[in-house]
Amino acid sequence: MKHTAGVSSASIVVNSLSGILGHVLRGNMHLFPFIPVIIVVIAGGLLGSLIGSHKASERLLQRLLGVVLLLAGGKMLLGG
Amino acid sequence: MSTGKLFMFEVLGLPYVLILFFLIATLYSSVGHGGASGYLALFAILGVASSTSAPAALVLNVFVAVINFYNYYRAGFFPAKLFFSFAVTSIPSAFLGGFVHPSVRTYQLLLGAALLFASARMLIAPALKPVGDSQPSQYMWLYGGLIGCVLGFIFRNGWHRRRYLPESDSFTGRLS
Repeated sequence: MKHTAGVSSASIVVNSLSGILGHVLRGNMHLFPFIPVIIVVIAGGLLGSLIGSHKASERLLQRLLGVVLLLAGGKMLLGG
Repeated sequence: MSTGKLFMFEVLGLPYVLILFFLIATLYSSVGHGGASGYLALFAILGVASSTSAPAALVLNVFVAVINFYNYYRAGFFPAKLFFSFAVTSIPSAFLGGFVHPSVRTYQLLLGAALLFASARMLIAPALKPVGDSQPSQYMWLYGGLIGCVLGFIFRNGWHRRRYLPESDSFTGRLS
């Protein structure tokens, strides 16, 4: 699971950057109001990835990923 | 924006909203994800305009994904051979996948079903074997192509066709 997390994070960076480029080219990128959110998300990302890559067991990560996918899938099926 | 959504934002207040974003980022990043779907859900609950929330969620996603990649790479959990074996076909396929335009509801049902299937596999199946330095499957280029198509489909449709999200700038107004 930790190798999966490493590979998926690299894939997300590559694919998200192409999406951001599309928004930037259309001039649809106004981030200033979101600076507080960006700061707390960076802090959360640091904490979560350190826990995931160092502390958590493979089995725990598998269950956590299952819960995350369940939340995201349920949200989609219920209409976003 | 509906009264219910406005009520929810007024009740929560900015500090609690930021705590929710922090928790989403922590949970998703612990499994190597950026958290875009979580941020979009929270933005929708808070009544942020989709034209504002989609690019913002994408940027938050990248910030977290870069941090994830750095930490997992440093900890020795980035099998480069595996990544490049499917990235070669997934990137051009993502471009092609963006040309498929279903209805918003069809998009939600397809993506929701795929996510729930993956979730069931994670929660029900026995522990997955670590991939480590094992040789990638000879079909990785094919998997990469399929994954790329799905990603292109999600990004081109998911980020640009979320018309059903409420339109309001009250949240960004409160932040700035």
